[in-house]
Amino acid sequence: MQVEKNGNTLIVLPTGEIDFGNSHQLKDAIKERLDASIQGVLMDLSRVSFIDSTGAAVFISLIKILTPRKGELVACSLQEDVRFVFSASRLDSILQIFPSRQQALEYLKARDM
Amino acid sequence: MKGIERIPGNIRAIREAISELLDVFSPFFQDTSDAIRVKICLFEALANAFIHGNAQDPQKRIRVRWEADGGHGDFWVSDEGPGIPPDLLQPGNSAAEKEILSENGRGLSMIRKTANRLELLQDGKELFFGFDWGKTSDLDR
Repeated sequence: MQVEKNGNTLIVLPTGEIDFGNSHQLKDAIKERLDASIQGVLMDLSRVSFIDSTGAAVFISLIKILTPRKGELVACSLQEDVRFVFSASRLDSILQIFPSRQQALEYLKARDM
Repeated sequence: MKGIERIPGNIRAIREAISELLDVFSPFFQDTSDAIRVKICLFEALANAFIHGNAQDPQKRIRVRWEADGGHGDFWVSDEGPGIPPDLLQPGNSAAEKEILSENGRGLSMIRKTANRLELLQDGKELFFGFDWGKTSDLDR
């Protein structure tokens, strides 16, 4: 997983499958980098081929951390199978999804993130 | 075709079993969503069996019985735990359906949204889910 900071936004680039065997590690790794200055988190899912319900829970957990900060979690570049998972888990109804990283960053920038 | 798998209680074995089952079923898939529908349900059912049913005990196994042909695919998943409370399978009853920001209780609702058939058997000790190839789930409608 690659993580980079862009102003007060954290850009996370996980790889492979996010499932019950590794989702807690992903959550811990992101939380470690969520210092108080971070308001936006962009999950670039271009290299993620599958997410299960425990992976979906990682996204929910991040939303719960960011919302009190008036921050936001967004996702971009979903592969077709991951888009299907987002629908089945209803993640697509609780976070913004963008076709590209650039579009997601422009959205966050417009929100001062 | 039909078969029975007895999967050891560890994450690697479960992942490998899911991968092997998807390989066995792939000749039957009729559209692009069939593979991901089966994958979602196998992951959710087996993770539920491993984490909640068997309490991650490496000595306990998960049993998967399956049947497939050109029209449908069916799975029966059981573990060595106490079983699933029947009311959790009803629409609207899982934690994630009651509260969309719940971090738990999303797996069974994901199965209901993707499989064509879903049932609890053997007093909750066996989870059945089935697919009609090429047909989206209508269990939530």
